[in-house]
Amino acid sequence: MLALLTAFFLSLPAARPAQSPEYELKAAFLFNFAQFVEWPPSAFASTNSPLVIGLWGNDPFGKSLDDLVHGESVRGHPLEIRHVRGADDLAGVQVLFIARSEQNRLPGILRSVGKKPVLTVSDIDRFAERGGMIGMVMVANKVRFKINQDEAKSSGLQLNARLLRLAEITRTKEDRL
Amino acid sequence: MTDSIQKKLRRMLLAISAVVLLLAVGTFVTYEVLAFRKSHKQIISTVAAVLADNCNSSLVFQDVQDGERLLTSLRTEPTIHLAVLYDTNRTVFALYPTNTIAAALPKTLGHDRNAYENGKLVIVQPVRDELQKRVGTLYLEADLSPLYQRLQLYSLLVLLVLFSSFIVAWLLSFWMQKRVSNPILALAQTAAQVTERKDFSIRARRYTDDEIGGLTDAFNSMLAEIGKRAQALRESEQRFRNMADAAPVMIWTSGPDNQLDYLNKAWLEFTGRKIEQEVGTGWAESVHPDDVARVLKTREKGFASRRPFDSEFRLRRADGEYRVIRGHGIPRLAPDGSFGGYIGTCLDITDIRQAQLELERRVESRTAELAETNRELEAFTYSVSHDLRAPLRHINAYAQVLEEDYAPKFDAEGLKYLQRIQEGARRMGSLVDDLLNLARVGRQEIKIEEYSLDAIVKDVLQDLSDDNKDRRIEWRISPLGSAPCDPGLMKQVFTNLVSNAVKYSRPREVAVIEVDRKERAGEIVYMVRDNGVGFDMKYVNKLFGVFQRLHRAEEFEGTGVGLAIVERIIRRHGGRIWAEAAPDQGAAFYFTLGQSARENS
Repeated sequence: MLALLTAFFLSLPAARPAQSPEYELKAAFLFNFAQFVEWPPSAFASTNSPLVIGLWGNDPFGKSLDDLVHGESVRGHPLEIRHVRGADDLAGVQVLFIARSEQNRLPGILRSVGKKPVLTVSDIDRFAERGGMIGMVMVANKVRFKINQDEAKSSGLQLNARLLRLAEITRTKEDRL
Repeated sequence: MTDSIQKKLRRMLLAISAVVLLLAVGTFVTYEVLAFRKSHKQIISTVAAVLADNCNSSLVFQDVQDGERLLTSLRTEPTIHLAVLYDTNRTVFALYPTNTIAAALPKTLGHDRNAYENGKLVIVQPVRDELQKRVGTLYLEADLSPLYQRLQLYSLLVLLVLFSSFIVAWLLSFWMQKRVSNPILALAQTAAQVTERKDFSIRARRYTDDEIGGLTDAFNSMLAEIGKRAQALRESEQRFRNMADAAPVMIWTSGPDNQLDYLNKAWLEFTGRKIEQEVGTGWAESVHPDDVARVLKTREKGFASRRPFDSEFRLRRADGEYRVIRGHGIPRLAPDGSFGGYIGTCLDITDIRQAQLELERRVESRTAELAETNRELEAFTYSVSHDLRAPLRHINAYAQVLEEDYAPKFDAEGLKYLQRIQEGARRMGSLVDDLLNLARVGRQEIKIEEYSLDAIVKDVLQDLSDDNKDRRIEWRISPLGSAPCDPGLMKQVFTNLVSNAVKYSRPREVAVIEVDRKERAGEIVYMVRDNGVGFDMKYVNKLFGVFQRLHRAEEFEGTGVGLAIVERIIRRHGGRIWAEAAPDQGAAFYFTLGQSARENS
C-alpha cells in the first residue's frame, strides 16, 4: 500500500511545489490579462512570433499555468512560458510575472525592465503603487487587481477598457528604491 | 318606403366609411406591428450584442458585481424585463433585475437565437472573450408593451375616427336625401296620388337635372299622354253613347258569353224598363212567350258560329202592346282581334209591315184595274181598226170601180178628186194597219231566243236597198253580235229605225247611216245614226208618242206610229230607248235590250 502510494506520488512532477486554488485562479488571470492588452508591433519579432510569459522568481503556479497556456495563442502569437533568472532573459518577453520571492529585489527588477513593452504582473503587496503595472490582491477571498495605467502607457502598452473597468486604478506613490 | 331609400343611403355611407377606415387601419396596424417587431428585434439584438461584448471581462475575471452592474444598464431599455448571464457551465452568473425569483428564469436556454416566442422577444447571445472563445451566455427577454400601448392608442383613435365618420355620414345622408332621395320620394308620392285620385293633371316637381330629373320629365309627359288619352277615350265613349242613344233604332251589345251588357235609350224607352232589368238575359222577359224559344235559339246558333244572325219576333212595348221587331246581330272583335261578343239592332217594323201590306193590296187592285182598262182599250182599238177596214175596203173598191168604169165620164177635176179619195183611203188603210200593228205588239206574247242581230240588220238592209236604188247612201255597219231577243220584233225595230234614217236623210246628197254597238256602264248600247235633218231636242219627249210627228207629212211621209212601236218592243224586252239630235245635224237613236234579256244570255 505504502509502495503504491509512494509510486503514485513519485509519478507527480516532483520539481513543482503544491498548487493552491488561489494560484490556479491567479494563473488564469495572468493568462487572461494577455488578451486584454495590446502591445506595440515592435514588441514582437514577427506577427506569428510567440507571446512569452516570463516568470521571475519561485514559480507559484506549477503545472496549472502550463496547462492553461498549452496550445493557446493570442492574436496569432502562440503562448510560451519562460523562467527568467536575470535581466538577460528578458529579451522577447511580453508578460513578466514577478513572484513574491522577489519582494525585496523588486526595484532592481523593475529597473531592469525599464520602459520595455513588457506587462509586469505580481501579487507582491502594493506592486502597482511601487511602479508595477498590474498588482493582484485578495479581497474577501477573491482575486482582484490594481492597475497603474501610467506605467503601462509609458511602456507603450494599451490596456483594454473592459480590463480597466474591473480594476482599481492607481499611481506610482513611492520611490522605487 | 319613405325610410328605405334614406336608410339604405345612410347604411351605404356608413358601411363604405367603415370599410375604408378599417382597411386603412388594418393595413397601417399590420405595417406598424411588423415594422415595430423588426426594429424592436434589431434594437434589442444590438443591445444584447453590445452587452455580451462588454461583459466578457466580468466572466473572465469572475467579477459578479461588475456583471450585475452591466446588466443594470439595461434599465434604459424598459421593454427588457429579464436578463441572465450564465457562465460556461450554464450556471447563473448575474441577474437583472437582481431580485428575480428562480421560477422566472428560463428552464432551458436552448440554442443561440433571437426570436419572438409567445409574444415576447427572446435572445440567447453567446459571450466570447477577446480570443473569441465562448466564456458564457447572455439571456434576454423583452416584451412588446410599447407596441401594445401604441395599438391601444390606435384603436382609441380608430374608434374616434369611426365615430366621427359615422356622424359625418349621418349628416351626409341628410344632404344626399335632399339631393337624391327627395326627388325620388316626390316622384313616388306623385305616382301614388295619381293612382289614388285617378287625376292625370297632377305633375311631379322637378328638382334636379340628372337622371332623376329626366325620369320626372318622362313621368310627367307620360301622365300628360295618359291624361290626353283618357280624355279622348271619355269623349269618344260619350260621343258613341250619344250616337247610340240618339239613334231611333234599338241597339244592344253583349259579351262573348251571350249576356247583354248594354242597351241604348231607344230600347229602354220602348220597353219602359230599367237597364238593370234588361242586362244579361232580362230582356227576354219582354219577348212574346211564343217567340222566346226561337229567338234564344237563333242567338245561340249565331254565337256558336260567330256569324251574323237575323230574327223577327214580337216584343212587348211599354204600353203592353206586342210589336213586330226585326233584330240583327253581328259579331264584334275585341281590340286584340279576338271574339268580343255581339252588337245588334232591333227595329219596330210593325208599321212598315202594315204599310207594306196595304201598299201591296193597293198595287194589286190598281194593277188589276189598269189591266182591265188596258185590255178594254186594246180590244177597242183592235175592233175599231178592224171595223174601220170594212168601210175602207168599200171606199177603195168603189173608188176603183169609178176609176176603171167611169173614168171617161169624169172631167179632169173629177178625176183629181177621185185620186184624192183613193189616196186618203190608202193613207187611212196604212194608219189602221199601223194601229193594228201597235195593238198587236202590245198584246202579242214575245218569244226570246239568242239570235244574231247582224243577220237581222242584213235582212233589213236588203229590203230597204231595193226601194232606194236611186239614193246615194254610205252604210257604216259594224258587227253587233247576237243577243237574246224576239227576232221578229227585233227586225221591226231595226226596220223602223233604219227606214227613218233613210227617210230623214233624203235631203242629203250622200246619206251616211251608221249601225253600231257600244259598251257603257256595263250595258250594251245599240245605235242607229244618220246625218239627216235631225230635230230640236226640246221635242224629244214627244218622239215616241202615237201619232206624234216632228215634221210635216207633206215633207216626210209617215203615220207617226213607227217609233211608238219601236219603243213598245224595246220596253217589252226590258230595255230603254233614247235619242240625241239637233236640227239639221242628224239624229242618233240608242237602245238597250235590258237586264231580263241579258240575264237570259
